[in-house]
Amino acid sequence: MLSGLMNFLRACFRPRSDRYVHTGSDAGGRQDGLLWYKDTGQHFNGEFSMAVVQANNLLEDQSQIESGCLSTQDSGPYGTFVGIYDGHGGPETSRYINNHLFQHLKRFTLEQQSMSVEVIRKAFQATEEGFLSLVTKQWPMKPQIAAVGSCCLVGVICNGTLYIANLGDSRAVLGRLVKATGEVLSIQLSAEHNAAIESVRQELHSLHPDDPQIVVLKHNVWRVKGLIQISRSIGDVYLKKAEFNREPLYSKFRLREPFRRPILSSEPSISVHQLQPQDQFIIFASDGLWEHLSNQEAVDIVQNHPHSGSARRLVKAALQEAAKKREMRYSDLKKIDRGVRRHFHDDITVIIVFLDSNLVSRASTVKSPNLSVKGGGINLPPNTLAPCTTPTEAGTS
Amino acid sequence: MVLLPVISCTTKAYSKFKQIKSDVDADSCTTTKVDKGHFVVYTADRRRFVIPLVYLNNDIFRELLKMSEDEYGLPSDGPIRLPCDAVFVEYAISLKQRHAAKDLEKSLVLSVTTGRCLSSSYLQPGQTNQQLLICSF
Repeated sequence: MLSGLMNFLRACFRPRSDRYVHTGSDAGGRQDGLLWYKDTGQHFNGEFSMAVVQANNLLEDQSQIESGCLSTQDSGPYGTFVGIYDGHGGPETSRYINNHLFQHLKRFTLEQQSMSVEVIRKAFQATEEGFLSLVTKQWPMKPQIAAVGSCCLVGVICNGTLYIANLGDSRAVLGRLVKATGEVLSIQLSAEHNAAIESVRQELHSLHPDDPQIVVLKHNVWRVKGLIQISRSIGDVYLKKAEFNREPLYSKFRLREPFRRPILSSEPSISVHQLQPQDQFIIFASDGLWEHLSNQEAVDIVQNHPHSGSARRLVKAALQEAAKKREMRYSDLKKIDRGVRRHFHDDITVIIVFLDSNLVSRASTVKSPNLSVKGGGINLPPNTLAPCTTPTEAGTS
Repeated sequence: MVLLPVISCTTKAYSKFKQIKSDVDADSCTTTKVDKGHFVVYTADRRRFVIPLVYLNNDIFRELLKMSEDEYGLPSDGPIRLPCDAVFVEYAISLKQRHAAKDLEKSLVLSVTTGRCLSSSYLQPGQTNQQLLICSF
């Protein structure tokens, strides 16, 4: 019991900055200015590549790849887990998901003795409930935590099956080889829950028939209750439980009328795909990437270059596009410090999972070493211009 | 008041203004190659400003960016738009160029955040700065 308590305390007091110090080797990724990257690594089903560029003062995107055992006992099943968590209002929810969702998933996998849609659904639900109890606990001291939330995109590859679960507006895109032509086509595997999409607005209206103001168009952007673009998330409890939509929460987050049913949902959309030998890779990314690159543009860039560094290459392509839209040079965009950088682009996270068909068809009972990589960021005091940007940032593709 | 000397040198400040380019027609300039070390903003009256990156450290510009976010959200598909007129941005630039005292900058930020003085209906050329400073105190 005492050792359990010590472990808990150790977990609580472990310095958060430890994972940012990875300059020596590529094992846990490298930091270059506001860019963090791990160019290549090996997961249960092939190679992977990962990159994150920070724009917010505190990185709100969190991410992880976990490979090996997908349950809490080493009996398996074995496979690959990918998570992209795009936070908003602060980093608390996305960090919480990064620290808890996979643990819940492993626990439910053990309970059910296999991977399934149900296991993933339960892991999402347990994460949402866990975060709600955290908010309840912190509310008296830190009421603002009620207005923090996160998108949550998860991919699980196990036994030749790909599960995609999604809340919010991150996106997973498959690159599939068309043998007849040699082309690699993009296939979108997830649907966004963003009020910009007509069907999402219709869903909101049908769930809230008595509220004509459930979605509002302001300056060409659709927002749920005029506040938030996504309709499903983890967290955002101020739009799920009326008891958190009151003082001392900032008035801009408070709704005029009390609500009886949750405005946002935490129910993920889950799809199941049987992987085929033509399936080459899956790009998982936060909307920071997709607002600058189309699915096919991203797939083409990955397909036409070496696997190593491909996530960094996509980040670079998105930043070049962002610079063009803002009518400035890419080299200058990179000099802008986090915080003010958010006016030029969003946090961007990319994880590309390459699929080696020999490994994908391997049974999930084959044991493999566990690997865990979490997307990084920097942890420096607020400053003016970026701390260091070397010419090597975002590669030389 | 201490404000008078500041007002008297505004004309000089505007003459230095050539370093910072501003174009009248927003639409015709989207393909302009931007100078190294600069970023671009558009004002509510569709004027385009090419501004040195170092201005991003200035409190007034940071406040204007924050207001842009509150007013228009963070645009994913185009340039940055500020919710104020060109006259206001010109004045903010002139303050920065003259290394205006911090408290003067602060007072301008204050006038910005109270939501007045942003439109050219408040800032008529000629009496621009005087009016602005008067209403910011």
